[in-house]
Parts: sequence; C-alpha cells; structure tokens
Amino acid sequence: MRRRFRDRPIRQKVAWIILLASVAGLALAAGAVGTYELTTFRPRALRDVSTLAAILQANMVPAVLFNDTTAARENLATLASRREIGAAAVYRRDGSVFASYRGAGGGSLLHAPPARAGAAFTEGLLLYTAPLAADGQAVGWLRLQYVLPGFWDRLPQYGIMALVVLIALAGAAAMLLTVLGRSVTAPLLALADTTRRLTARPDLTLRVPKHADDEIGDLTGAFNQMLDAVQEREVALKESEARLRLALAAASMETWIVPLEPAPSRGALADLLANIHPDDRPAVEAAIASAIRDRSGFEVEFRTAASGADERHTALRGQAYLGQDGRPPQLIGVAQDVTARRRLERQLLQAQKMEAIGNLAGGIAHDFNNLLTGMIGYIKFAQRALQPGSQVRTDVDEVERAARRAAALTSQLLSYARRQMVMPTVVDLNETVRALEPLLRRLIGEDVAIAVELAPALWPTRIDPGQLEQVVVNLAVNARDAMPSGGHLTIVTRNVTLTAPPAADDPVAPGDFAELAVSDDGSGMPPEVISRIFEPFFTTKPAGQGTGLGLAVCYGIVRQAEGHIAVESAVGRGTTIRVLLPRGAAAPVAPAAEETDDDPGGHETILLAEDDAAVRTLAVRTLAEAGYTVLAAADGASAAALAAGRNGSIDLLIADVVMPDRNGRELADELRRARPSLPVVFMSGYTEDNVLRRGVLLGRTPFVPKPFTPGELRRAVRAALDAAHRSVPHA
Amino acid sequence: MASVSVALLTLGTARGAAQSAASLETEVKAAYLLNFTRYVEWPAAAFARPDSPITICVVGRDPFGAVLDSIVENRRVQGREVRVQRAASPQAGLDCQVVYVGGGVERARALAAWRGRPVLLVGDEDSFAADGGTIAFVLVEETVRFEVNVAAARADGLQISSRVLTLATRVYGEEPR
Repeated sequence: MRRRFRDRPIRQKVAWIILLASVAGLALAAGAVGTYELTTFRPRALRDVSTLAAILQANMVPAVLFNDTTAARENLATLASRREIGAAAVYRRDGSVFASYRGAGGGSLLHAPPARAGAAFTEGLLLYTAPLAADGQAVGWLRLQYVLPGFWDRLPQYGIMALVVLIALAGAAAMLLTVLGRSVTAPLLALADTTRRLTARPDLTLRVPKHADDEIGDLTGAFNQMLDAVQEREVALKESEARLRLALAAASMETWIVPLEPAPSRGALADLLANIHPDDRPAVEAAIASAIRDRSGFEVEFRTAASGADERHTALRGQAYLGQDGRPPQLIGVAQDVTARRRLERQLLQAQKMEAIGNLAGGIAHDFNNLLTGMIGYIKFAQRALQPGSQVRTDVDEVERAARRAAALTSQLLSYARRQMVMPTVVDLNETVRALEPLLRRLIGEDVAIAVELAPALWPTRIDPGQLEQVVVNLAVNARDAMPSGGHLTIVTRNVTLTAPPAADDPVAPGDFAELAVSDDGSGMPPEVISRIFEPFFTTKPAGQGTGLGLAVCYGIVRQAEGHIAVESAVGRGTTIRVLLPRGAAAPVAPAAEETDDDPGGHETILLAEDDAAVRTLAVRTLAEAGYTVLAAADGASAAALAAGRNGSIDLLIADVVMPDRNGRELADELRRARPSLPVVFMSGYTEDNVLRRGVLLGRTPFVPKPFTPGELRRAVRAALDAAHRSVPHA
Repeated sequence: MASVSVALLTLGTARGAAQSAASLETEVKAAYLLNFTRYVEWPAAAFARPDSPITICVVGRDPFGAVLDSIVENRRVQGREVRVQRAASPQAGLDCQVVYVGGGVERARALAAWRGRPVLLVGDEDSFAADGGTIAFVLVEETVRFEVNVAAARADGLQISSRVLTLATRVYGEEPR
C-alpha cells in the first residue's frame, strides 16, 4: 500500500526534498558544465596547445640552432604527459623534419611540411603550427597535433565529479536529517505524545518540554499556554461546580436528568419517583408526562417514605428541553427536600389557627365574663333575700352552679388562649399532687389503680396554683380516658436538669426543672394522633364525651409558665406525658388564708370605670351597700372628667382593663400623674396589655378577675385601701 | 657525415655546392660561434656604447676565412650588429666579446689575456673548457658538439643561457644544487 507523499513522516519528506533538490541542482550544474564545455572547449584547446608550443619553442630554437636532434626529441618526448597531443614535429627552415614525436594516442605522422603558421581544426584534430625564430630570423617550424577528445570521452571525468558531489550531498542530507530529527521531529513527536497522554488521562499538569525558540518551540509554547488556560478553566469549573454542589446541598437540592431520546425509560423515572407516596404518584406522573409532551416546565410536590413522623416532602421542579443547540432532548431539574419547610408551614398554620381561636375565645370570654359577673352578682343579691331551704332559694342555687360551670369553661378557654390573668406563685408540685390525690381517685374511678411516686426534695416551681391543679387533673382524666377497661395510672415527679433544648423547635431554655410525668398503660396513640393532641378541639373521644380542650389547655398553661410538655406514646404501649416546669426562685409560701364570710366595707370615695352596664350597676350597688361613695363612669374619658371635678377626694380607682378608647391602665396612669399615690384595683376577664399583665404576674397590681362575686370585689377594695393607708400613714 | 650537411643547410648559406667535406666542420663551428652570441648575456660594461656591436675575434690561425664573415653578415643579435675581427696573437687591447682561440696560440697566454674580462673564450681543443676556457668544440660521433665551463663564465661576468647548457655534452663548474 503506497502512502501518499502528504502522509509520509516529515523526515522522509525532507529526505525526498533534499534528494530531488540535489538531483535538480546536479542536473543544472551538469547542464551548465556541458554548455561551458561545448562553448569553450575549442578556444581552450587552442590556448592549451599554443601554450605548449610556446614552451617548446624556447627550448626547440637552440636545439635547432645547435643541430641537436636528440635534445629536440627529448623535448618533444615531454609531451607524453599530455595525452591529448597525438603527434608533434620540428621542421627545419626548408621543411625537412628535424625531430618528431608520436603520442600514445596514436596521432598520424606529420610529414607534410607546414605552409604557414596557424591553427586548423580538422576531423577532431587541431593542427597547430608555430614558427621557430632566433633574433627575428626563422630557423624552422614546430607543429603540434592536438587530438580533440570526444564529448563522451570527456564525460567520465565529470561523472567522477558528479559522484563526489552526490556523495557529499548524501552526507550533508544525512547530517541534515539527524539535525532535523533532533530539532523538528523529536519535539513534534513529544508534542504528539503529550497530547495522546492528555487524551488518555486528563492530567493537566503535563507540559511539553520546550527544546528551542524556533517555530516548533513557538508551537510548544502555544500548546503549553493552551494547557495553562485549560487548566485554569478546569480549576474554575471545578470550583464553580463545587460551589454549585455546596449551594445545592445547603438547599437540600439534588439535580436530576431523564433522557427523552430514546423514549424516557421507566427506570430513570422510577429512580426519580422512588418511595413516592402512592396517593401522590398519579398527580406527579401526570405532571411529568404533560411536561414531556408539551416540552414545558413542571413543578410538583410529593411525599416520600412512610407517612407519619418519617414522612418526607420532596419538591420536584423540572423542564423538558427539545434538544436544540446540540443537547439531546431531556428532562432536567432539581429535587428539593422541603420537609422542614412544610413542617414549619404547618406549625405556622397551627400557630395562626390557635391565634385565631384564641382571639375568638378571648372575645367570647370577655363578654361572657361580664355577663357571668352580672349573673353571679345578682344571684348573690337574690340569695341574700331568699330564705334558705325555700324552693326559690334552691332554684337560685342551681342557677349559681350553672353560672359557675360556665365561668369555669370560660376560664379554660382563656387558659388555652393564654389570655387568662394568672397569678403565679412559688408552688410545691408534690404538695399540689398530694392535695389533689383524693379528688383524682374520685374522678378516675375504681377500675384504674393510681400509683404516685413523689421525688423527695423536689425543686419548687413558679406557676399559677389554680392552673397547675388544672394541668394535673386534665392529664389524669386524659389518662383515664385512654384506659376505658381499666389499668394503671402512674404520677411521678422528679428533678430534671436540661443542658440542651428538649427539641429542636422548642423555645425552652436549658436549666433546672421539676418534672411531672403522668403515665397510663392504655391503648397508646399512633404518631398522627400524637402530632395533633395539643390542638384545641382535637379529640379521639366520641362526640359529646369531651371538649377537646383538655390537653390544649395543659399545653397553653405550661407554655405560659415557660415550661415544656412532651408526649411519649406507641400503639398498645400506653402513653406518658411529661411536663417540665422551671425551677422557682424561693421556697413555696403557704397558700392564702381562706376568705372570711364578712364583707368588709368603708366610707371612702371610689371612682369606678366600667363600660359594661350590668357589671357597672352591680359594682356600684355592691360597693354602695358596703358604705362607699361610688362615682361610676362608662368609659375612661368620663372617669377622667369625674376625677378632675372631684379633685383629690377620690380614694380609689376601680377600672375595667378592657374598655374602648382608653383602657384601664391608661386611665390609671393618667390619674396617677396628678396623684401618684392613688390606689387602683383592676377588673378583667383577660388582658392583652402586657404591662398590666406583668404587674399582675409580679403581684404588684391589685386585680379582681371576672367573673367575681360581690364579696370578692369588696375584699379586694378593702385590701387595696388598707394597703394605701399603710403606705401613707398620715392620710 | 649526413648530420653535418644537415647542419649546414640549417645555417642557410648560399654557397653550398663548392664546399668540401673538411670545411663543413668549420662552417658548423662558424655558425655555432654566431649562435652562442644569442644565448650569452654580457655585462653592460662589456660594451663601449649601448649600440656597440658584438665582436667575434679570431685569434691565431683562422680556420673560417670568409665563411664566418658571410655568416655574420647583416645579422643582428640582441639588437647589436655582429662583427668579426682577426688577430695573430692574444692582445689585451682588442675589444672582443667572443674570442675564438685558433691554432698556434698558446693556451695559457690566451687565458691570461682575457681571463677575468667579459669575454666568451671558445677553443677547439678537447680540454679547453676543462682547463679554464669557457666553451670548447668537441666532436661526438662526427657531430660538432660543445662543452661549457660555467664557473669560468661566471668568473668573467657572463651569463650563459640554460638552454645552451642543456645542449652541451658536458658542463664544468656547475654548482651542486
């Protein structure tokens, strides 16, 4: 198979070029030599022969003069070294031969006497005749026969020359090729070798050694520069890729590609949709199919893994590409784990829901409390006027019980909404449980065995005692309800020190806690129930058996006390609810003394600000009957005006916290600007006023929670007035 | 014998037919005397004037007679005329460039008379050149040849052409090279 010249190695090409150039040069030289030979041969021969003749002449003249034929012959014999001289002869003046010579070349004898001097070319011969003269006198003739060699006879000497030149050229060519190999082929091969190695193994630190600064050196330099650039770009690309990967990882994102040609394989899609929740699969597959069909983008979200606590949410965003600009048709996009976001969204939704419910409950409770205050107050008035034991008195007592139940329900609503005015004190949790134990036994019934394990030296906690009782009772009742056919209820207290928050999304700070754990060995709860048990009105009980507020109220109370509540449960394994309450600052104080039956009165002047007419009327009557002078106002503005009119004669301000236009605290602040020592008693069912709430929490602000009885109001007023008198003895 | 006649023809004399065989040798010698003048270089002092003729003096018995005169007649050698003068005995006062020492002349006297002067001394006796003369005619195989004493010539201030020396049968006083 003959290779084309173009595809031959450079060394061979150069060798060929040198050879051809040499042959051409040689041919040119031969032509030049030939031309020179042809055009100058005769003159040269003539010059040659005339020179010979001139030399011979000088010696031949004396030989003739002194008649020395031997000398003449000897002189002629020297022509033997000149092969081209065929024959020679010396003639006397009269034309007779004096001496003659016949060369090896075999020229003809020269007998014919010369007629005159000169040169004559005949048949390949040059006949040259020169006169012999001494001092101007002719003494004879010298004749030389020059045999002109044929062109082909002359050729061999040129052939030898050509051969020498050829050998020299070959040597030069060989040397050139060696040099070429070193300076051209080797660097080129090194370049090719590096390129091949780069192709096989992309090691961009490879560089081609540079041999010289010629064009190949240039090429090598450029190649290395290209490698530098490629390496730089690769590094940048890798950095960018790493950045992208980190960004994707930070966003819990992964990229995916499904080739669309040939038809999208089930495998690729199956990988993508592995572990998809069966309920979500049809919608997702439909979205993807639609995107592939329309070559459009899509965005779907689906659940993966088992439902419940391990459920993950994956958002899939992608775009089908037609395959223009050289890319194959493909479906490409990112998958993002949005579980955390969904959970947060759910929590936000939950918070919003509870906020809304709280607002509703708070609003209802406010009005209810006013209504209940009126009802209970007038019931008290009616009871006083009725004979105990009479039928009417008994009916009224029933009305009172119903009103109190209504008040309790309202209070629970407010507890859940965390808007109840609470008065936390330092409480011994063990004491509370111990006091409640008989009540609990009665509530729970005989089917359930109660075990109480109270830790000695339990840390005191700070919480509203009534609310704490509510938590204990609610948890116990809840446990009982989980054991309809009986079982064991265990109440355990202990000290717990948290070094880290109990859960990632729990705002409770680490610290010391008193723990209350209420356990049952009942039916337990599946995870989806556990995640919802603190929602208000969520209940697993049949309709009519529960309000659905029990655990939600516990949750609200515990969180309001800056504690923590957690559920541990599994189906068939029972449930434990743990309540962590922050350690209180001081030892528990003894509970307040039982209130006395007599309602203390007085003669001071009291300014009453209450927007609810029923409550206002009741309060005015209650206080007036106790001997006080009562100035009543329906809102803050008129109360302020009344106070201004009775400058300095008002001894106490009773203010409803929630009033339109100016609330109780604002009114109190206004009046206290004129009289800082003015005692104030607030009334409210609940409050959103944080300053007031804080004051009540700290026990600084006298407060009458609604609904209240006339006695409660009178006692609070008397206490506030007495306190004011004690702090200002001269008054 | 034949070569002698050939030599005479070469000289080109017009008087060929009447010549005897014995006088042929004389004629060749006469021609040679003239030919010698062509290949000898005299110092400038050898001539009275730049155009002074070359004088061939025949001393003692003259073998040439009219032959020599006819040979040199109308010849110019080295741009000079050639003359022949005759003298009975060697005389230092003679203005000669070539002296042929003929018969009856005592060799020693002749040498004494011209030795040391720029004069080409030619003699007929075989030992003439060996004994202090410059050129001696000798007969080799019946042919007239000559011997040359280069040392003598040099001593006299003469320069003899190497072309003539190559034709001499013998050369004396050649400096070893």
